[in-house]
Formats: sequence, C-alpha cells, structure tokens
Amino acid sequence: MPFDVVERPVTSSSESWVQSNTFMDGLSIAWKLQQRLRVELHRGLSLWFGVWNLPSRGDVNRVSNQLANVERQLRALRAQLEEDEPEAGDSKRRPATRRDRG
Amino acid sequence: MAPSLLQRQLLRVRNGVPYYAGLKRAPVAQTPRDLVWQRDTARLWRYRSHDRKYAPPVLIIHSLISQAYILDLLPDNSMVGFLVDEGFDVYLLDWGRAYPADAQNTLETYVEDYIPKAMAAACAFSEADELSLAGYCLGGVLALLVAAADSGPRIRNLIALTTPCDFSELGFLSQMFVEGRLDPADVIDSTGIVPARALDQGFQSIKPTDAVVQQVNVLQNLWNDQWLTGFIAMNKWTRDQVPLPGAVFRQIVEILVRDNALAKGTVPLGQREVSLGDIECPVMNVFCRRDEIVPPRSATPLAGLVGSEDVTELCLESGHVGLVAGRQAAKVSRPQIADWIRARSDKPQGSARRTQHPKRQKPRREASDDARSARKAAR
Repeated sequence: MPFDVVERPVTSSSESWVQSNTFMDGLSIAWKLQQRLRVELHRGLSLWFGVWNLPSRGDVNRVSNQLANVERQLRALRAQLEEDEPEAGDSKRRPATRRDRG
Repeated sequence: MAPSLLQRQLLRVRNGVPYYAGLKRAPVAQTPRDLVWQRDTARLWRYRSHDRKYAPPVLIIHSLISQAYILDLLPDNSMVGFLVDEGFDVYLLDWGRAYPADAQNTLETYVEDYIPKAMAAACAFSEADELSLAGYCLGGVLALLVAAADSGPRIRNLIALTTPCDFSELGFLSQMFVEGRLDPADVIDSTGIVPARALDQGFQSIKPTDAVVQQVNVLQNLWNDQWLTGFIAMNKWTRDQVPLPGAVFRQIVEILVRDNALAKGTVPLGQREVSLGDIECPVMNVFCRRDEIVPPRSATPLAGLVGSEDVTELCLESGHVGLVAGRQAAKVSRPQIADWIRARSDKPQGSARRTQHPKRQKPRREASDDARSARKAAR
C-alpha cells in the first residue's frame, strides 16, 4: 500500500528524532516557555477577573487545595480512629463488599 | 468468508457514522467482581469465580499512571478473565484517579500503607497467609519495593510485568527529566498533581506519527466489527491517563530516574533503604521486545538484582500493552504466566475450593465476617 511506503521511513526517522538530545533539549525549553506564558496569562486574566469580582482559576485552585487539606486531615483522623477503635466497634459495621459488573 | 469490496464499503458507512460521532463504545472491564477493600482512591477488587483451584490468591497491582481496565479490556481479551478461568483467585488493586487530596502521596504511602493493607485484606478474604504478587509497569516497581521492604503478608511468588528497573534506559520519558532538562515542578500543577494531559502528551511524543497511522488503520479496518471494537477499547485506554500525585512523581524523578536507585539494587524508602537482594521468593520478569515505553534493556537487569534463586525471564514479541491485551497476550504471555504461577501454587486437597455461582451468590453474612477480618488484618 502506498501509505506504508511513506509511513515506515517517516515513522522510524521521527521516532529516532524524538529520542535525540537536540529534540529533548528543544522540547524542555519549549515546555518551560509554555508554562511561563501560561502563568503570565493566568496572572493577567485573574487581575482582569478581579476587576469584575469574578473568580479566576487561581481562586478555584486555592479552594481546591484548601479542600484537599481538609480531606487529608480527615483521612489522617480516620486512620487514627481505625487504629484506636476497640474490637467491639467492628460489630456495628456493615459488610464492605460491593458488586460490580464493569 | 471475507466480505466483498461493496459489502466492505457498506459496512464502513454503517460503522463509520457511529464511530466518528463518538457513539460507539467498547464493553471494557466486564469480568464480574466485588469490591472487597478500599482506602481513599485505592480499591481492591476480587474477581468472582465458579472454581478457584489454586492457592494462594494472585494480587495484581496496577500502574499509578493509567486505568486498570487494560487488565480486563474486553470479555474475550482479558488478563484477569483468563487467570480466573484458569482457576486462580484473582484480586486487582486499582489506584483510581488521583486528585488534589492525593498530591502528597509518596512511594512510602503506597509501599508501606496502601499495598500491605490491600494484601492483608486479600489474604483475609481468601483465608490465606501468603499470596502471589504481580505488578504491571509502575505497579511492578511498587510490587518490587513491597517485596524488598517485606512490608506486607508473605509473598509466595512475584511477577513483574513490563517493569522498568534501569530507568536510564527508559528513553524519552526518563531522559526528559535528567538534570538540566525538565524538573518535576515543571509538570506538577498548582494543586500538586501531574495532570493526565501532561502524561498523555509525554506518551504521544514517543510515537509522533501514531495519530495519523491510527486514522489510516481505522479507515482500512472500519468494516471489521471485531477489529473496531478492539481498537476503540485500546484507543480509549491509551488516551485515558490518570493524574499522578506530585510527591510520588518527585520521588520517581529524583530516586528512580536521576539516581537510578532501582538499577543499583537499593532504594531509599522513608527512614531506611530497601534492597532488591532481599527478595528471595520466585520471581518472573516479563518484558517485551518491541516495548517503546519500557524497553527490554530497562527491564532485564532485574534478574541479576533480586536475591531469588528461582528467576524466570519471559521476553515477548510485542509492545508494552501487547503483554496483557492482544494476540501475543492470548497466545503466549497469559498461558505462560498462568503456567508459571500454577507450578508454584498449591492445589487444595480434595475438591477445588468453590465459590457460589455469581447469580446465586449471597455472601452477606460471610462477606460481613470477611470484611471484619479483612479490616482487622489490614490494620
């Protein structure tokens, strides 16, 4: 098939190119630049949103991180409780199995 | 009989409309199972079976960066389904989808907390005091660390499925994080996790022409229902990466990639160091010759690092996923893995240990007892 004739050399040379130091150095610089631009863009947008009293992505991330902290504390408390829980406490628990079919 | 050219065109139209409209779905993860233990996002599934012939149970630890349904991809293409049919008592430890609350999970969280507790739960449910532990990809690394740390119930057999050992040989994915290129902070987002998008971009970069080749393959095989279902399932999985907790990603980069600690045989874990030389149970190392994610040269050093005298290596002519799903998996890897575990398992005396038919299974009270004992053991 004509596609295979073109595809095989293109694929093998592109895969070799991807594994080369030149490509990986270039990609890491491009990635860092992209991240930097993204941060600057979000900073600008959040200033603009702030003018209109609208929540920005940074605000959402802050709330998300606060919730994550609360959840981590809950997890630690639950682990502590499970360690301290007397054996008798287990009788109140219900079965832990749940069925699933995909 | 193969359809004629005209029939193929008609079939292409019939399949193409729902496929390109995104309406065609693949029936993934269909093997019946029960949730027997869970902690945070981690879930331990036990697969139902009519006839469990062999002990101890087999616990498969999945990778942290992909969805576990690759091990149960399609009803006729399922690694766990095969093992269940062969008479094994199969458990799957699925990490689920990490979210910001998991951002501070470290290797220690998995190796010293989640996995030992899941292992204890599996042992309690199967009334066993040991198990066969298998790990796929990064899950294999976790399994090796658990075995080296001896942090759970006794491990009878250890199976490493396409498990990287020498991280300097991983190619693109590890070379992008050597000193002077990307730092973990460059890919960890402001909630502390590595977004699935970043992982997906990394995997897509390894095969830059893959997207085009795939589309041409789809056009070629669109008439073939069976091929299309398999393709949709596999394509769904390859693009279905899950976020990775940032703290464990930092450790992977610093300890496993930059220090290449696993290839040196000793890995710092918490306040101590664990040595692969302390692994003395039988070990099976399975890797694939055409694997671009974990090339054979990254996986093979494991045999020389473990302390076991019973080490088996199995090299397959497939890619990273071909080991667990695909033609090579069906013909070669699954049967050989099953044979290897079977040879190192016990067949219970008398009749095989049987469980009730799934439709009639009503293990409410038994499950309750099991759950209690599992919970006690997990503590």
